[in-house]
Amino acid sequence: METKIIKGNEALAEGAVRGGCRFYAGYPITPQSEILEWMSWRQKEVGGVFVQGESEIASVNMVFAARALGARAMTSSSGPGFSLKQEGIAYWVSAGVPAVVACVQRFGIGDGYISAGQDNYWQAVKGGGNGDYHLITLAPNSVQECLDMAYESFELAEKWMHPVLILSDGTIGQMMEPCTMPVMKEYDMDQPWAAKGTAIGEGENKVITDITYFQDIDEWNAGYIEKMRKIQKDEQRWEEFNIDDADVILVAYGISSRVAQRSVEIARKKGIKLGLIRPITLWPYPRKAFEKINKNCKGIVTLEMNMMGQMLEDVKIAVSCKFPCYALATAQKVAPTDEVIAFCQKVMDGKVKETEVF
Amino acid sequence: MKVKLDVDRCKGCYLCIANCKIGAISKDDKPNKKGVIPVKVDQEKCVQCGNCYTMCPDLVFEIL
Amino acid sequence: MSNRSKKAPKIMKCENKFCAGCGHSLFDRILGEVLTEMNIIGETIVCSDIGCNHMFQYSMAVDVIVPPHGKMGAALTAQKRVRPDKYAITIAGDGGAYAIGLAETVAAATRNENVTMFVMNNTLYAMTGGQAAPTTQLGQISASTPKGRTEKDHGLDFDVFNVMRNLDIAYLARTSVANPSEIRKTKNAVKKAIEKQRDNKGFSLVEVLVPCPTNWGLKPVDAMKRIENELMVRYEMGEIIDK
Repeated sequence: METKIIKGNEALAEGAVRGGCRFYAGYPITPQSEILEWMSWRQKEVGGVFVQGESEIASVNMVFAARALGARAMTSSSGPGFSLKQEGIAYWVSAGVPAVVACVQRFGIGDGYISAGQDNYWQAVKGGGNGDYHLITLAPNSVQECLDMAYESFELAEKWMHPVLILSDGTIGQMMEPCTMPVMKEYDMDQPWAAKGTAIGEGENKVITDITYFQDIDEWNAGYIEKMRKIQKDEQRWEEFNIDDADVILVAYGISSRVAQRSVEIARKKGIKLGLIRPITLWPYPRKAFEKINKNCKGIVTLEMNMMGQMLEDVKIAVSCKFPCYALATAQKVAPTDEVIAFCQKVMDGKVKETEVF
Repeated sequence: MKVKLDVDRCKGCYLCIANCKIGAISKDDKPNKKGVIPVKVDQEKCVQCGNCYTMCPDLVFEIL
Repeated sequence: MSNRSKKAPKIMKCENKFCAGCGHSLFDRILGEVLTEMNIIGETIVCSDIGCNHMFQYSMAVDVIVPPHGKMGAALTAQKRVRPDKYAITIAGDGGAYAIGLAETVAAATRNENVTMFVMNNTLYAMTGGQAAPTTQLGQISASTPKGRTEKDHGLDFDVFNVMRNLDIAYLARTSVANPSEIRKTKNAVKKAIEKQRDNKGFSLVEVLVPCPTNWGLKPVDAMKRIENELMVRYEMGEIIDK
C-alpha cells in the first residue's frame, strides 16, 4: 500500500473517496477548506460529483438528495458553517439517510476565532438539530485516523442507516503526517432502499422522508429508540493507557489526546501515575472504559480546547459522579505537557476545586 | 351512460357545476360518505366535453 | 369508450387530502397525466417541498424525497447529478421556492441545472394558516397582514419573471388552473418543461397560479374568479423563455 505525507483534511477527503464517496457538496470555511478543495478535483478523477454549494444549507441538502438516491455522499464544515448544517442533518436522521458529515472544529462563538479549537463538542454530541438524536461521532487524533475513519464511515452509517459525524479539529486537520492509503472500495448505488424511480406495477413507490408521516408514530418511535440504544451499546470505542493503577486519569480526544498521551508518558517516567482514556467515539460515549477505573483514583481530568469543559458532563455521567472530576480547558491553545502534568499533580495533592459543570 | 361518478370522493367545491357550459351538472339531494352534498349529472344533457373531469380536484368524474 | 373518454391515471393511487377546491390537487393530476403520457413515472423522482404542496406524496404513486422546506433547488441539483438518467422534478410552494428557498432556487437557475421546478403560487402560506408570502399581493389581507399588504410595511411582492427573465435557462412560464383552457395551458407547459429536461436543455420553471379557497376566505368558484380577474391581470402570463 502506498504511503503519502498529507494534511489531515486531505486525508479525510481521500479516505472518504476511497471509501466509496461519489458525491461531495460543501462551502469554503477555515480550517476545513482543504476537504472541499481536494474533492473538487478528486471526485472528477473517480467519476463522482463535486458541487460547491451556494451555502452550507444548500450543501447539506444536496447530500440528503444524493444519498437518498443511493450515492455515498458527504459534506464538511467548521464552526458556524457546521451550525448551518444542523437542520439538514436532522432531516438525514429522521429519514434514515446514511450520509456522512465532517466538522473540523475551530474556536469561538458565532464567527469566533478561526484558530484550532474543540468547542463544537456540545453541538456535535448533544444533538445539534431538533429532536431526539445523536450522530455516531468519530474523533480522529492523527492524519491516518482522519483517513481511516472517513474510509469506514459510510459502512458504519449504512450498518445503522444513521448518519456519521467525523469530529476533527483544526490542528489535526492542518497538520501533515505520513498516511497509508487503503484500496479503493467499490459501491453499488442501486441499493434496495435508494430512490431510483418506481414504475406503476413495479411495487410500492419509495418516499424518503421523516417516516412518521407514513407509519404509526408509536411504532416508529419504538423502532428508532431501540436502534439508538443498540448503537449506544455496540459502538463505543476508545483507547486507554495506564489506567489500572492511575492516581489521576486524563480524558481527551482529538489533538488534546495527543498532548495527554505524551503527558502520561513523561509523568510515568517521573513516577507520577497518570492514565488516559481517549474516546474514539464521542457518541456513543465510551462509558464502558470508565468501569475499569480503580477505586483509589483521586480524580479524572478532561483536557479540551474550549472554555467550559464541555466533555466534563459526559465524564461525570460515565462515573456516576463517584470520582472528583476536573476540566483543564485550554480554549484556543493546545496545552503544553508540563502544564497538564502540573495540573494533575495539584489534583493528586487535593489542591484544586472540583470543576463546575456549566 | 356518458360519465361515471365516484360521488363519495366529492368534497363539494362545485367547480364542475360552474364549468359545465350546458348545465348538465347539479347538486344531488343527499350527502355522501363525507357528509357533503355531491353532484349529479344529467346523462341525457351531457355532451362529454370533459370540463367536469378537467376541473375536478378530486377525481370524481370518468368520461366514458 | 369514446375518443372523448377521460380517466384519472393510475399514478393517482387514492383520494387526496386537500381541501375542497384546492389548486394543488388539480395540479397533481395534471402532472400525473403528463408523467403517464410520457411514460416516465419509473424514471421520475419528485423532490417534495414542505407545505400543503407536499401532500401529493399521499396520493401519487411516484418516488419522492423530502428535504427541508424550500431546499428543492439544492436537492434537485444533486438528484440530477447522481442520476442523470432520471427526471428531477419538484412540486414547490411559493413560500418554499421564493422565500426560504430563494437562494437555492436562483442558484440552481443561474447554474442552469437540468432540473424542473413547478411552483404553486397561491399568494400565501397555506398550511400554517394563511400568512403572507413574498407573493402576497399589495392590499391582500392575510393572517400576518391583517390590514392588507402595503409597500411601506411589507415591501413589494415577488415576481419570478423579474428575477429570471435574463437568466440563461431553458424554460420559464406562468399558467393557472382557473378554467379548462388554463388547465390545458398548464398541462402543455408541464410537458414542455419536462421535455427540456429530457433534451438536456437545462433549468425549467413553471409557476402555476392556484387557488386557496380556505385561506382566501372564498368559495372555490369565487377563488377561481379571483385568479382570473386579479392575478392573471396583475401577472404576465404564458411562456417568456422557451429555448
